[in-house]
Formats: sequence, structure tokens, C-alpha cells
Amino acid sequence: MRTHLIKPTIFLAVRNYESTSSSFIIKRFITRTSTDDPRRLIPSDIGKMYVVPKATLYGLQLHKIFPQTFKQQLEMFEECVWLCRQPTLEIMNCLKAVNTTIPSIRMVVWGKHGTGKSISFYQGVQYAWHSKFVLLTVRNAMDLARTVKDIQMSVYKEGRIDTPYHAQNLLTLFKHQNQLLWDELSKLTTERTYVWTKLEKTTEGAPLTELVELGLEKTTLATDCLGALCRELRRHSTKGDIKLLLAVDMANSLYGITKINKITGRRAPSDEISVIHFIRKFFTTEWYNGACLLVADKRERSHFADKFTIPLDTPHELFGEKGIADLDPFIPIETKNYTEDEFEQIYEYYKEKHWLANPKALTEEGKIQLKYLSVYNPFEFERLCSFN
Amino acid sequence: MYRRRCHDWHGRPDGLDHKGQKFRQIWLRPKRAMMHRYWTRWFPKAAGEFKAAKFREKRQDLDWTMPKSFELPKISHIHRNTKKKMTRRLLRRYRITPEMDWPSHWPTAKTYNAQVCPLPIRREYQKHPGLVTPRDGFNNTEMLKIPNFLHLTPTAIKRHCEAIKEFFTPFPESIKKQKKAFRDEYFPITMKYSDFVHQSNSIRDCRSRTVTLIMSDVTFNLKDVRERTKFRQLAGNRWNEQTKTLSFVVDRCYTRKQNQDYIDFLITALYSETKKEASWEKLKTRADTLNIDFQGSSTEDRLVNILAGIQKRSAEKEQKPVAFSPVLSEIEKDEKITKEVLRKHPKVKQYSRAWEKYMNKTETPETVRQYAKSIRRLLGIPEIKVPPSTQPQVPVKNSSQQQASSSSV
Repeated sequence: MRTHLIKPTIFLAVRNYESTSSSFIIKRFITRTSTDDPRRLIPSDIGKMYVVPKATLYGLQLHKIFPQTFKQQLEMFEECVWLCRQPTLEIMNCLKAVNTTIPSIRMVVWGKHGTGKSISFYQGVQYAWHSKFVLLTVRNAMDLARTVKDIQMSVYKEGRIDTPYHAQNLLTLFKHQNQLLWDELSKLTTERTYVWTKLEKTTEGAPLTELVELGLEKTTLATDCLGALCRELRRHSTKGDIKLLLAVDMANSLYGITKINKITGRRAPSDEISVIHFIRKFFTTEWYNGACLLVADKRERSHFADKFTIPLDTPHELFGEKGIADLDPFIPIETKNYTEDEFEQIYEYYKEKHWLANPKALTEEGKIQLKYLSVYNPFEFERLCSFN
Repeated sequence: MYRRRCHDWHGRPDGLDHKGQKFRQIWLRPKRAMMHRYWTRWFPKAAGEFKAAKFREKRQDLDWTMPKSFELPKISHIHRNTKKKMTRRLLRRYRITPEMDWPSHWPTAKTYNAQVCPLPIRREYQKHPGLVTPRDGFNNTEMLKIPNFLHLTPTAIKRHCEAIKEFFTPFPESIKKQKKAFRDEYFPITMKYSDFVHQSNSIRDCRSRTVTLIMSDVTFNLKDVRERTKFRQLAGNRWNEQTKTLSFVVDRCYTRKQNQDYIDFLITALYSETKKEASWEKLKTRADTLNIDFQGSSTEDRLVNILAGIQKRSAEKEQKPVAFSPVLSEIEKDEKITKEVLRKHPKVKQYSRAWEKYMNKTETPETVRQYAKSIRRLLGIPEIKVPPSTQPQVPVKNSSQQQASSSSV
């Protein structure tokens, strides 16, 4: 009996691939985009896959804020590889148009369930990070309205409700995501003094980073610090010092229902929650050199027990009259099901990663069956492959 | 249903028999019980013939076209009972095939006859539905009670029309084109009411007092926008926007005549109220209009703010504006941007029309895409063109591939 020494060239190649972003690949059927740099993606890259290096992942904290299924995929494959699709390039195109001469561009990503709204959203966020935008991402606006951790009545404005937990989460994420621009941000100064309490105050000319630190330190001041920060960021982007991107996933929840009760026992409308109020202020036409990237998700309107009503996916339906009046004129960016090209790419990727367990899934007939069952829907296809 | 024996017994290639005739379906079936009684000496007088038939059976020189089982012996002196035929003819129900002519089979209006009509239908009250197996269509008196229109199949109607066509002139083309206008002029009102017949002590039915009246708004002679909007707001649910008809359904009075009079009252009231102009109508606000207009909307204000801001900042920085260039290039530099200026601008007019369509109609993915196109035209940021597919199009059934490529799922 002979023993064969198998040279682990294949494994070494895969390992090496991880460390360098543009290393050689032995993936036979997956086509890569021309670059991994999102700033230089072109229309001919549509339908091809590109890699997000680990530095970007940790820099943007994406490993914590991705949607659940994609996060699991990230942990499984230990790499972030995703498709460049049409909505990706649409978002990047709109962000390229950001300029000091024009007011903020509002984009609303809409589409059916599972067609890649959140993923396109994060692709846009990655592009903005590379293009040196200051990022203020809200991972989940539905969370802001519906999870009730701790609330306090606002001191600054009577009737408003502060949510320090959410404010501090936002500030920590802001801090993490803008680490590379932290020095620049510390050079930017506040316009006026903010008197928080008898003891605390932030003087005029203090760096913006001080606001963030104060908010993270003191929970009672967190929401107000966030509000002040938002105001200052808008002011500085209008001046032209920074480019600002407000990215909100499930943004239609900003105009939806809340679960926060007032002292009277009634539900507080979303107008009265300060964090939501601060984010809504970004939808005005008064600030320049920035963009708002929003996602319209129907999870806000769908009820788990109601099996009969089908909420629509379109922006007007999800945002409501007031939301559309605040946002108009906005650019609706649609996400659709996979095209034939895109389906092949993802299929080959899963095949390459040995993710398809059933041997019949590797055959041509199996592929046709997967097409039938998933109807080219990205979410459905991903779930099918996980169980087959 | 009877199992058809449609095959040719002798399997000749041209399907014809030795006499050159096509195979014809046999509608006769043997009465096997009778035959059994006949052949097994049930009828003593036929015993003699029985012997003769048996002998003939053994004989080889008989005519081979007729199957032996169907060969009947010549019976001369048989008991009266045995004169019953050894065959029975199939019911008309079983004698028809889909290729045959139905109007000949059921030529006129008649009560339902299960022996003639081959449909496997039954009409009855089932106390325990699901527990009783479906029965055949025979002995079903309920089917006799209802009218059947089996004599009015499309082929029958067509044939009837063809037959009497020579006595008719063609339908006037002018009426066809102006169908609605013709109807509004000569038959403006459609009134519907029903009569009910009961097989019981009482002949009354309270549903017979409901009256439905359908008419168009032509006779109302609505001139301007004020009258039209007031008419629509007063009519409410009774006005159908798609079919442009006004319908009244009334059953609040005891008799039909009273309900008809009430409808007359409603029409006169509606007419007189729309024509009247009250002083409080001038207090109408934006919230009272039926359609959302672009002029006076918050979007218009925002657009003015945006464009004015861009103009100002691009003048300050001496830069060409990046976005909204299609609009701004047509406005002079020094001209102050106000609502009036924008309302004359053709690009903004185009956008406002698209905006009104989007806001006033029910939202569908298609309307959103149209709106996206219009906003992009205004902004000057075009959509990205997807390069053509490099993959060979795999032939997948049920057009799921077409769904993917058209992306309209």
C-alpha cells in the first residue's frame, strides 16, 4: 500500500487569498470584478464578485451590523465576497455626484423581500468609507422605535423622549466607523457653547470628538450630544469641510409606530422621540455636500399574526404621506431578483466553498430545480443552499 | 360510464372491413342474464332450438364476420316472455361522442333528461357533504326544476344566426363607435329590479323592493371644475370613476314604487346642489381637493429651495452645478428662482406631471420606476445600463427565466 504525499498547494492558495485583496485565485468559474476598490467599479463589472478585505470589515464594524444571515455566512466562509449588481452602481453613481454646490441627495432603496436591499446599502456604505465620507449609520431604525430599554424625558425640549441606549449605540458606531477620520473630526469645532447641566458644558470652539466622548461617557446626555453632533456635522458639511453620509436601514420605521409609552399610558408618536427627530432633520434641503441613503423595508408594516394582508414594497406605501413629503424629491433605487449571470456566479461560489451538501445540487438538473424553487430570489436561494 | 370498445376487431390497416365499410360503433349490448336463461334450458320450448344452435356452433362454415356471441338463433315458437329482445340499445346519453353534433342531439329547450345529456352532474342537498360518494345523474328531480340552456351552445347560436342572417341588415358602424354616447342619449337610465316566485304559503319576497338605477353624468351637464368636484364629492361611493357611471341602490322604503320615487328625489337633489354655489365653498383648502396638485405642494417649495440654493452656491464658488444641470442650464444666472419661474419651465412642468401621476394613482412598482425616470431626468443623473448577459440562456420551463430577465416579478 502506497502513501501519497498531497501537496497542500490548494489550501495555501486559499489562505493566501485571505491576506491579500487582489491575489491570484484558482476559482474557475467565478468572475471577479476589475478591482476590489469600490471607487473604481464600472458597469461592465455588474454580475461579478468582489471581496471586502478584513480591514474594511473591522473598520466599518460590519461583522457586527450585517443582517443575520449574511453575518452567519461571513463567519462560515471567513470572508466577505459579494456581487456587484446594478443597484450597487446606482448608489455609487449618486454618491459620486455629492458636491458642495448641491444639497443632500436622498436615495431610497426599495424592492421585494430578499432582493438585496440591505446588502446594496452596505456596499454603498463601504464605497462612502473608501471615499472619505463621514458616516453616520443607523443599523436598524425599527430598533430605535420599537425596542424600549431606558427612556427619559428630554430636558432640552418639553414633550420629547430621550433614548440613551440607542443614542449611545449610534455614537459608538459613529466612533468606530470614523476612526480614520478622527483626527480631521477633532479639528472641526462647535459653533456655540452647549450647556448640558450646571457642571457640564461644551464651549464654543471645542472639537466635535469631545461631543462624542461626552455622549459615550454620560448616558443622560447621550441623546442631546447626538443631536448636537448631527447639527454640527450638517453645518460642517455645508461649509465643505467634510462629506457626510447618513445611512439608515429600515428608514420607513422613522415614520411608523413606536412601542414607547408615555406617562399617560399612550403610545408616543415617532415625532416625539428625539433620536428619530434628529435623524429626520437630515431630510431637509438646508445642508449640502452630503447624501442620505435610506432603505424602505416592509417589516415595519407587516404583522406576524396577520397572514392575509400583503404590504407593498414601494416607497410611498411604506413611508406614508408625511415621510414622502419630507423626502421628496428623492431617487428611488430598485433591487430586483438575480439575473441569469448573477445566479450562476452565486451558485458557483457556493459550489466552490463546498456549501452545497446534497450531491444532486451539483448537477445541472439540481441547478434547474434550485432556479425553480428559489425563483431567482437571492434570500430564498441562500436559504435553499444552506439546507441543501 | 360504459367502456367503449372502439377498436376494430380484425385490425386491418385501412380500418375498413371486408365490405369496404368503416367500423361503426355498435350501440347494442347483450342482455346477458336473458341470454343465460335462454341458453341454459330455462325455456323448455326452446330446448329443441337450443340443440340446433349448439350444433351450428360446432360447424365451421359459418359466416365469420359476425361474432358468434351475437348470433341469435331463429326462434319460431317461443314463449311470450322469451320474445323479449336479447339485446338492448344504449341510451342516447352514451351514444354521443365529442366529435358528434350536439345541436342535433339537443335541438330545443327541454327539461333536463339524464338519459340524453352525458354530463356527469348532479344537483342535490347533501346533509353530510364529503361522506356520500358521488352518484350518477339519474333520478335527479332538482335538475328538472332549474332551466338548462343546453340548446343554446355557441355552435347552435351561430348556426341559428347564419340561417336567419339573410333577413337582416348589418349593424350600423356609427353606433358601434359611439356606443356610450348613443346609449347616454337614447337610453340614459338603466333601472333594475327583480321579482321572486315562491312555492310556499306566501308569495312575498322582501328583495323585490330593491331598485338599482345606473346612469351617466352627461345629463347633469357639469361645466366647470367646481361643479365636477362638487358632484363627485356629493355622490361619493355612488360614482364609479372607471366606468363613469352613477348608480343608486335603494331599498329603504316598503314598496318598489316608493323606492323609485326616492331615487328620483335623490337625482334632483344631487343636480340642484351641484349647480348651487355656496359662500363657504370658497374656504376650500388643499386638503379638500380630490387630486393632489403639484402647485402648492411641499415638494414644489423644496424644489425652489434646492434650485435657489444651488444657484447661489455655484455663483459663490464659481463652479458649474453638478446636478440639476438640465434645469439650471435653461434658467439665467441672475434670474431669481421662484415658484412662478419654475412653473413656466418645461422640464419642471414635465416633472410635475409625472409627480402628479405618481401621487394620485395607486402606487405600483411600475409607477415608481416611471417616477424614478422623471426625477433622474430632472437631476441629470442617468440610470446605469446593465451589459448584456454572457450566460447561455438555459431553457427552463414555466418561463421562470423570462421572469428573471424581465425582472418584473
